[in-house]
Amino acid sequence: MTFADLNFILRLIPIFLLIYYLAPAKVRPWLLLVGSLGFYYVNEPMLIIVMAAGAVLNFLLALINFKKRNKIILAIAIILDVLWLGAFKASAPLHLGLLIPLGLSYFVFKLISYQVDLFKGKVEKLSFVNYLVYLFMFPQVIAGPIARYDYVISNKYWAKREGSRRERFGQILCQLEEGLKLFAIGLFFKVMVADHIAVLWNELKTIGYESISTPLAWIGAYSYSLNLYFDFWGYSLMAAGLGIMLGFEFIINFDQPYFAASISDFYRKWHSTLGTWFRDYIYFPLGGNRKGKLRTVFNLIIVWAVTGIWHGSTLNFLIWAGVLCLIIIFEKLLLSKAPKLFKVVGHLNVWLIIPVTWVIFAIHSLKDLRLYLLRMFPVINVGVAVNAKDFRYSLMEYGVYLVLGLIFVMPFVTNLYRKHKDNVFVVLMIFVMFWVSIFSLSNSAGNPFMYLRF
Amino acid sequence: MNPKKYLFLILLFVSIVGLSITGLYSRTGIYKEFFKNYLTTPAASVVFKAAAAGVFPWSNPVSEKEPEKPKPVTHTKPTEKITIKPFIKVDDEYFNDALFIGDSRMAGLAKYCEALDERATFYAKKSLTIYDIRDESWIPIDPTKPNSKTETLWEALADKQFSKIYIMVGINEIGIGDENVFRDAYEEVVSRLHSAQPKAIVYITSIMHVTAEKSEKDELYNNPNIDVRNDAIKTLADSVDNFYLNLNEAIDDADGGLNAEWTGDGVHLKGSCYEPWHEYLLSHGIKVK
Repeated sequence: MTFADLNFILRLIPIFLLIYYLAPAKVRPWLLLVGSLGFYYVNEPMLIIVMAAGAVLNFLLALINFKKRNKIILAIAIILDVLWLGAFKASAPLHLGLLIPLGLSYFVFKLISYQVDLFKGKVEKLSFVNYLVYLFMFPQVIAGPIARYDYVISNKYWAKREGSRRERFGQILCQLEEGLKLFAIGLFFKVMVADHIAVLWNELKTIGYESISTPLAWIGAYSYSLNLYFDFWGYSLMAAGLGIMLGFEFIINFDQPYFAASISDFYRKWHSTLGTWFRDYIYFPLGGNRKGKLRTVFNLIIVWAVTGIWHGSTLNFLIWAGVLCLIIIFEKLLLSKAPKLFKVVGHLNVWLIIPVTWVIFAIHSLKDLRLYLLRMFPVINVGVAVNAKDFRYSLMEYGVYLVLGLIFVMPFVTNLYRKHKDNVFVVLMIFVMFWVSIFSLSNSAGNPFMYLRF
Repeated sequence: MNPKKYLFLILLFVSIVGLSITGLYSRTGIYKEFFKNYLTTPAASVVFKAAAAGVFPWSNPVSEKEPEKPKPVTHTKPTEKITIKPFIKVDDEYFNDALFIGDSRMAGLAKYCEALDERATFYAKKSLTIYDIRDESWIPIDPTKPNSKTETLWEALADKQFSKIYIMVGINEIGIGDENVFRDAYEEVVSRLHSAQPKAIVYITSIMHVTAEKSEKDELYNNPNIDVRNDAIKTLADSVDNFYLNLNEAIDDADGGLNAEWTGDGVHLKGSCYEPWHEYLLSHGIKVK
C-alpha cells in the first residue's frame, strides 16, 4: 500500500486523523506508532520482524551511550548498521536470496543519524516510543524523506497546548488544511504527471533502443528526468503533507533542482534530506573541504562512490555517480574560478548533462545503455528499423503531460502557491487536481513509486 | 472561525461524503458491476470508475449497453458451392487495398514495417478491444491532430473500399467476459465488416502470445488464456470469406511463447522485429477477385 492507494487516501487517512485528534495529546505518539507499525505490516508482513530487531538492538546500544558517551559503542552501532544494510544490498549481486525489507536504506540512515546525534548530545531525553515513531512513522518509512530525530520531538500536538479548546481546534483545522493541500498537489504530480510520463519512457524499452530516432531518444531522456522528479517530489510532498496533518513541520526534500545554478547546486536541491545526510555523516566527518584541495577531491570521491553503491548494485550506478563526481570536482576546482562563465555553464550543465546522467541511472544493462547513448549521440549508426517520425507520435500522445511537467517544474508555480495558497481560485484548482487524480487512480492500476526498493 | 481558512478541508469533506453516499446508495443498482469488493473498493472511487465507463449517478438503472444479439457471420448463401481458398504467396503490392485494424501491437506494425505502412490503411489504437471496434467512436478523422474528432469504424468505412481486412485484437479484453462473449462480439464485427465492405475478405489474426516468462507470472495475460480465445475466434474462419492467421507460428520461440529476444516488455514486438510478421503475411495471402 502506497500513498497513492485509494483505500489509504479515502479511508485510512480520514479515520486515522479523526482518532488521532480525538485522543489526548500524550496518547498521540502511541497512536502514531501503532498506525505506523500497522501500515508497515500491511506492506511488509514478514520482514517487519527484521526491522524491529534492528531497532531494538540499536536502542540498547543507544541506552549505553546515553548514560556514558563511548566512541566504541557508537562505532559498533554504525558498523552493525552498515553491515546490516550492506548484507541486504549485496544479496542481489551475490545471489544470496535475501529479500530487502521495504525502506531499509532509509531506516538504517535514520538509525545512524540517531546514534551520531545521540553521541553528540543532541538527543536530550531517551524515549523508546519517540524513537520507534521516528523510525517507523508511516509518512516516511517507505521512501523517506530522511528526517532527523529533532523533527519528531518537535511535534506541536504531543504536548498539552495553551489556549481555549476552540482555538486549539482552529489550529488543528489549519494544520489539516495545509497538509491536505500539499498531499493533493503531491498526488497530482505523482499520478497525473509522473505516472503518465513514465508510460512514454517505458514505451522506448518496448520499441527497443536500437529503433528509436535521435529526437525520440532526447525526448525520452527529458521525459525520464521529469518522471523521476515528479514521482519523487510528488511522493515527498505527500509525505510532507501527511507529516503536517499529524502536527510536524514541513520537510523540504526538493527545492527547484532543475533551476539550480550548477550540478553541485542541483544535488543540494534534489532529494536534499539524502544529500544533507551524506554531507553531515560522511563528508564532514571526513573533513569536508577544510583540509585542502586534494583531500576535498578524495572526500567527494568517497561520498559519490557510497551514493552510487547505495542506489544499486549494477555498474551503471557507479558510472552515474562517477560522472557526477567528476563534473562536481570540475565545477569546484576550475569553473568556480570564472564566476561569469560558471553562471552560464552551470545552468547549461544542469539542463544538458543531468538528463544524460539520468539515462545512465535508468538503464541497468550496459549493452542497452550503449545503444541508448548512441541513439542520443549518433556518432555510430546502430539504428535498426528506425521510424524517423516516431517522436511526433510520442509528442502527440504524451505532449499534454510533458507540457504539464514543464509548467510545474518552473519555480514561479511554487512561488505562486506560496503567496496565494489560501486564495479561493487556488484552492479550487487544487480541489480539481485532487479529484482528477482520484479519477485516474480509480481507472488504472497505478504505478508504484520508483524508490520503493532503494 | 473563518470557514474560508478551511475551504479545502470543507470541500474535500463534503465531496468525499457526498460521493461515498452516492456510491453506496446505488451499490445494487447502476454501480452493481463496479462494486466487486467492499473491502478493497472505496465507494467514492466506484462513482469515478463507473463514470469512465459512461455510467453516471443519473444514468438509467437498466443497462444501456446490453449486448445486441450477434448476427450470423456467414453471408455466403447456403446453396452456393463453397470453394475453399488456399493461402498463396503474395508481394507487397497485395496490401495496396488492405485495411489493418488492431491494438497497440498492430500500431507497432504500422510504425515499424515501412512496406505495409506506405501501402495499407491502418486503424490501430493502443488498448483497442473488439467491443471498442463494435461500439465506440475511436478512429481520428484527422490523425495528424492530437485531439482530432473521432468516428466509428462503420462511419470510417462508409466512403472507402478495401478488398482485404486484417484484424488483431484480444489481449486487452482478456479480463472482460469469457471466450464466448469475446467470440460473439468478434462474430458481430466480422459480419458487419462484410456488410460494409462486401468485396472484402477478412483475416482473423490470432491474438499474439506473450513470452513464456510473462505467461508463467501473469494470472491474466498468459498464453493459456490467449489460446482459449484464439480457439474461439478460429471457429469464425470458413476459408471462403474469413481466414484465420495463426501468427504465433511465426513469432513463438521453442518455449511456445513470444520470442523473448524480439520483445522488450514480453507483450509487444520490438521495433526491429516486425519483419517475421510481415513475412508471414506475405506467405499467407488469399487470391481475391
